[in-house]
Amino acid sequence: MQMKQVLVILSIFILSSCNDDRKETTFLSKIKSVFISSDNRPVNGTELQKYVVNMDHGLLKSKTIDEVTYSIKYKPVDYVIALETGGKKINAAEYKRRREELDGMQYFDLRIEIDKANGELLKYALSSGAEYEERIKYLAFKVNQDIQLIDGKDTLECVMHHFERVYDIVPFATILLGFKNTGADLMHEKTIVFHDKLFGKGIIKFTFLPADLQTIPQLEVIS
Amino acid sequence: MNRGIVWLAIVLVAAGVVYSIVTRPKSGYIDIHDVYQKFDLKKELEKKFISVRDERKKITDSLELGLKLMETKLRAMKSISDDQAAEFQTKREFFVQKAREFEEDNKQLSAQYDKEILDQLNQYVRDYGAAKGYDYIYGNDSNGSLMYGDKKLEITAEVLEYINAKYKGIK
Repeated sequence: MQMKQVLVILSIFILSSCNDDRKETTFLSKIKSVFISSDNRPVNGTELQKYVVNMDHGLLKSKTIDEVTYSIKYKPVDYVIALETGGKKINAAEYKRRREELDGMQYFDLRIEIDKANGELLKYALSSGAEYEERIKYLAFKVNQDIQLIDGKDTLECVMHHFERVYDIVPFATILLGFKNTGADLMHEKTIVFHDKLFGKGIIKFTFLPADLQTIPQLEVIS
Repeated sequence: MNRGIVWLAIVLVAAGVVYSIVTRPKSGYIDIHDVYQKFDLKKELEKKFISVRDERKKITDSLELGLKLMETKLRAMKSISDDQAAEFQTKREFFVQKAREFEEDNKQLSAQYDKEILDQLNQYVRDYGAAKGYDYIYGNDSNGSLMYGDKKLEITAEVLEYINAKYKGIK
């Protein structure tokens, strides 16, 4: 009888290991994230930075089209302050002052990366030297014209952008983006729309869900 | 003991049969035309293209109208000066050049948008296949590349839902 039970358990184990949804692991991580991030209690700067860059929390998103990977990070104001303070605690007065300065905008980082490439992103698959110059000018001065934020019912233009240039070091580029903060509540999605004219991959969208926006922890301050 | 061996044999055979069924290459097929037509990026770029094309058409229509009015006016005149004839000729050449330029730009834009749509569509179908553990996803485009597929293996609706969510950046 004991032998039979062992065999049945063994066979169940064998069958369960043959599950064909081999790569479907997001379900468990979603459940985990719901339990972990269900309250937005204050956390210290380092924890907040880790929270934002954890892809399970839905504030950092990424997609790959052929050889190009696009990533976007939503940067809540508290996260920007945490970056500025380098993880150190901030007092309430300083926090309030900085928050008021930053509150008028919504901040994102857009990163474009070429997979399996070495050297500067802008030198990838160049057809001429002039094209390299055009790419620099495009990212430095014009890329904001191809980026919008759909915030609830509002479509917002990118009013501030900064291209962080790297020279022959890494095959990616980061563009810091700023959109007007209309004070829309967090009951609606925020969708970044980027029409990529650099590598011609079409319209790239990233949507931040209300559930992820509502559960962002606040930055701990010293009273 | 003998009964134990019999049980062991039965379970191993059953497990083997199920294992061979489960590990068979997983395949499905999609209606390419349907997926392409209902892909949100395609719908958005189509709207954009129509808007650009219509704007360009307005410009050439306006140039053509101006040219026709000038032609009518010149025809009604008893004699035409060299300057008037030259001005008409210049306007006519400008119109022809602009119309040709726009036609070429429209073709280029259409080809560029087609490429952008196909790049993303192909990528998202690959992502779907990898996420759901498919070994093969075939495309039925009614040109004979897929002669038959059991309806049970058709995954057009699931793929469409997935690729539109992927395009929106939710997944």
